[in-house]
Amino acid sequence: MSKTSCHCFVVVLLLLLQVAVVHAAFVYENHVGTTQWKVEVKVDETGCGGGVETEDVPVTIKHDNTLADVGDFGHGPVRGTFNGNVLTIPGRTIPDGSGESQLYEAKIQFTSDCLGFSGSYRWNYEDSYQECSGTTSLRGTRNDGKECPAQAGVLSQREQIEAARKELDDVSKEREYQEILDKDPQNFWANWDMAELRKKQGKAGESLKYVDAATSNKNILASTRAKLKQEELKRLNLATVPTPFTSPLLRESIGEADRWAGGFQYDVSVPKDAAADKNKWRFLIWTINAPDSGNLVNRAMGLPGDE
Amino acid sequence: MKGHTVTLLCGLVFIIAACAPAAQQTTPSGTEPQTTPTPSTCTTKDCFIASANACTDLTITVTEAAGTFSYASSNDCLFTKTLVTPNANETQQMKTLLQGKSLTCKYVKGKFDQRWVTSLIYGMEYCKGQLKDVLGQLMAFA
Repeated sequence: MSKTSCHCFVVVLLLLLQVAVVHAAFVYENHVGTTQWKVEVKVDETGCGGGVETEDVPVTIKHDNTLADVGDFGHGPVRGTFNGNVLTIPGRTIPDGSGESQLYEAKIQFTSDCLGFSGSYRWNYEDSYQECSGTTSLRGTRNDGKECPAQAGVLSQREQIEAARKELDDVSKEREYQEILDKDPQNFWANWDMAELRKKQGKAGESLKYVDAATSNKNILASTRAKLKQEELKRLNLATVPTPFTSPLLRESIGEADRWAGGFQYDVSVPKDAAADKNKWRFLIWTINAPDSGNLVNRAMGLPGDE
Repeated sequence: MKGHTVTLLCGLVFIIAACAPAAQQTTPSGTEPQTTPTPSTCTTKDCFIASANACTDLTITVTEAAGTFSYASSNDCLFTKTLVTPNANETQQMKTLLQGKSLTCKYVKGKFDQRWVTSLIYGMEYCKGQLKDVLGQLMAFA
């Protein structure tokens, strides 16, 4: 073998390895999110005197790492467990017509390109007239995309946020963030960064709207506030967390925050209703007055996909 | 006829003079007080607000639930708020954090924001100083 052809062979081998690594990177057991499927459900009832019936059913699967809540494809919703790309749905007994069916455990293999799955399970049917057995086969086709969900979801969103932050001009930044917000209007990172951008541009009213959108997700708001509490404790060099019971000043501040009757924040008229969600409102007041609040939130929250 | 006109004008002046203080009292929170009197000494917040609005050199000290504050306005329309002594019931670490901290707010004559004197947390968006920072940061614990 010549030296040149040897080099070519190594390059091709490396490329093949890279492709293999990319495809191997996705496993459903590490995925959090939702996938949509068209499931062809084929029920073989020949053992019960019937025929073979096929039906297409739309099914949603909610993934939470190894746990998967699978929508109804014939016997009601069910929770399964992923091990790699194999979903195991436990056996169970369900009421069925005038009798009941015992469903056996199902092992469903999801394809590594994330576009399909297939599997089958046996079942026994029993009522007062007969006992019989049959098989149900499932074949799923992805309805919500043509690539692995992690590549279209958290990973690309993280990359988009990173890319937007690296942009030097505001127009490009806004375009990047808007792309994210078009798909996910309550996205914390895109809204937060847009709020900071508008604040820098002196557009306080719009900045407040983006903060409002960023904090619409109660879970994210709660986790952000919890992290910021620790950050502020360090910044203020306090050994213990002040509370309304230990600090008259904090008690007064909270009282004032909660009595907001409408008025101006910056030059924007903010109605009384804006303070209806107390946690959100108190966070907004912190955002407005605490120094370097934008960067502190960024440090505390990291990027999509961070722990 | 001329006598009637003079009487009418006097009556009008009297009515306007009588109504002016009432209008001042009903100024809503968050807006600039419409005030003309500018006393050189004050003991109340209302008096201070009126004087500060006219950019008078003046300082008052007021004890409130959160502590003892000094409020100062100057001829060049600069407002300074200082937390002279925090409430005695604050923990030692909070007293150390708060004691003597100030904030300043620049304003235009006639546009004094009375919330600087009536509120701990509102109206400070364009102000600067350690007191603003600390009051803002403490909202993280609210």
